[in-house]
Formats: sequence, C-alpha cells, structure tokens
Amino acid sequence: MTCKEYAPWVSQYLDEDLEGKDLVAFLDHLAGCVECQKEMEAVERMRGWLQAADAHQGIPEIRGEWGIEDLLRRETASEEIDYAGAPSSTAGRLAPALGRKGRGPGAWIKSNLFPFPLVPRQVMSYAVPLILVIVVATWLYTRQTGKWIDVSELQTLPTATVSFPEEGGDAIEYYVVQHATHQPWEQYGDEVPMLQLASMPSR
Amino acid sequence: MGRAAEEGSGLPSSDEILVAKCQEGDKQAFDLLMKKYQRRIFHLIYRITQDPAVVEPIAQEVFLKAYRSISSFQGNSRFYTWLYRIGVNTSLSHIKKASIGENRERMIEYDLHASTLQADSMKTEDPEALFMRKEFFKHLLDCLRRLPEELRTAVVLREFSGMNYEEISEVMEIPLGTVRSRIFRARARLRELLEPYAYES
Repeated sequence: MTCKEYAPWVSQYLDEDLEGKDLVAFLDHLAGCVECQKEMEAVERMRGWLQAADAHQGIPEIRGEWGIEDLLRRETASEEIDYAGAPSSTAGRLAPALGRKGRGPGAWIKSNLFPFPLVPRQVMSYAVPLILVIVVATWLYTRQTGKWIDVSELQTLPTATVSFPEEGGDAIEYYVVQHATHQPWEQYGDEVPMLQLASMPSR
Repeated sequence: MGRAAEEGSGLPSSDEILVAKCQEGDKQAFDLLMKKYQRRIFHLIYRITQDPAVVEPIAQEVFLKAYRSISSFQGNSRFYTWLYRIGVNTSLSHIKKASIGENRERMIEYDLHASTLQADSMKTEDPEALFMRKEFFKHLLDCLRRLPEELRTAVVLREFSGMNYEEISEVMEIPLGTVRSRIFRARARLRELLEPYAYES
C-alpha cells in the first residue's frame, strides 16, 4: 500500500476507528514513514485549530424558562397572536389550516398593520380597504395637479385651459401656464409638464 | 456516552428510564432530558447554522418535535442520537429556507457570543496576537461554513459534539463507511483551505 492509500487511515487512526489487522498494518507503516507521520501531525494540528475556534466562539446564552410546559405555552401564545383579529376573509380563515405559523395574508395584515388585538374584526375589514382607497385617491389627485400655484398669479401670465375627460364624469379644467423655457404650451403636446398645471379659479 | 457499561449490566440507562416515563405522559421526565441536552443541542445548532439569532427558536422547535414524537421512539437507537438527528435535520432545513433570498452575511457574528467559553490563554496574550488569532478563527469557521452540508455536519458531530463514527452514522442515518469517507474528505478539504492562511499567519 502507498502513502496515498494510507491517508484515510490516518483520519480513522486519530479517531480510534482502526482495529485488528488494519491497525497493526498501519502502525507498522507509520513507524517507518515520515510522510505519513507528517500527514498525521497536519490532521491533528487542524483538529486542534477547530477545537480552539469552537471554544472561542462559545454558544449563545440560554434565556428564559425551558420546561416543556413553557415551550408549549409559548408556541400556543405565538399562534394566538398570529390569528387574533384576523380578517373574516377566506384566506384569513384558511390560514390556520394551511400552516401552524399562519403565513396567510390575514396573518400578515394583522401582524403588520394591527399589532394589537384592539380593533374589532368587522371594523378592520372595512378600515383597511377604506384607508387604501383614500391613500391612492390622494396620490392620484396630487400627482395630476402637480404643484399648487397661487391662482391669482396665473391671471397675469399667458395661460390656456386643458381638460381631462378620461378621468370619468365631467371634464375638469386646469390652467396650463407657460413653461420656464417660455415655450408655448401647445408644443408639449400631451406631455404637459406637471408644474404647469393649476386648478381652475372659482368664477 | 456511558451506554456500554449499562448495556453490559443489562440495566436500562437513565435516558431509557426517562424516555419510558415520557411515553407514559410524564412531562417532568421530559424536562429532565431537556435540561441534560439543552446546551449540547444549542451548541450543535449554532455550529451548523453559524447564526446565534436562530439558535433558540430552532432549539425550541427541536424539543417540541421530540416531545410530540417521543411516543413513537422505539429505542432502536440511543435517545441522544435520535435527538441529535432531529437537531441536525431541523438546522439543515432552516439553512435551506434561509439561503433562499436571505442575506447570509449576517450569519457570522463570532464576537458577539464569544464570551462564554473563551480560552484562558487568550486573556494573557498581547493585543496583536489576540487579533491575529481571532482573525484566524474567523477564517477557520468561514472555511467550515463553505464545506458542503453533508461534510460540515459530519465534522461538527465529530469535532464539536465529540461523537464517534458509529454515533454519527446513527444521527446522519448513513453507513459507517460513508461516515469515514465524509470525515476524511472534510478534513482534506479544510486543510486545503486553511494551510496557506495558517502559514502566512
């Protein structure tokens, strides 16, 4: 057998896993082989490093009570927090059945938007869409009219009106004032810069 | 771990007695087992995941799983190898989940929890040597983390949990020959990764 073939035996020898004839043969070889002795030292040195690193790293501290009753209680409590006040949607009702930890949208909305079980379920199922509608509507409205400008100032500037009939219902009229580069507004075509829009003054 | 003598005498081991009580519904018996193996399971999980933040939740999951399935524990293997198996599998499945889309960088926080078992020699070393040593350990554990899962688990069980090949084979549910080859390959790979750095230092 060559040293290369003995290499796995070095590992086994250090781990007390060699016995009988194999052990005798290996020891005979090891006694006269400098290469294998070096190999053995190198493996042993590396094991020493690993164990020193292990001791250096330590383990995280164990906190809190660790009886099985405590673990079961903690698990139940975390489930209750997940589902208390969940919306009465299909997804919300299915969440407990789908997974112990309740990864459904109901649990997500509950834990992220309403972390306390203070808001009744019925109120919450109306409140969430209502808040969303208000946020989106506000955003759309301010996006379209752009920056508000004092309407009285507009009277002195060259202006024109433009309407947005696609918004549904009656067309809303807006003032379009000249761009800062003094280009007439018509040259912008459909892409009227937002800054140029202001609401119609009341007549 | 103390089984050989008890096997020879034909008497049940303390674990076997406690497991039997657990199977009859004795929660206090399970608490005793948990107290005995808690630190070892924490250690195992930390070495496999390398993330101190997940050790406690995973340990909790491990003991709850063990508690729920203890009635089906047949005693074909030893209790602690059975418990370690749950520990290894739960840690590995956590790593799989975490590696999808999570930032793996935060996994290495050696210094935060290094205080509990710090070697005495390190306290008397000069600051530069201490720094070099810390850097080396960091590199070493990083190399360990870069090993394939099956090699890393075998090394962790052998070097850090002090298990023999037979116990590792029970925990990992692989033949003894595979344990030998994995440990040999893991050590060879670690040496390749480490030796240039060690000689530089």
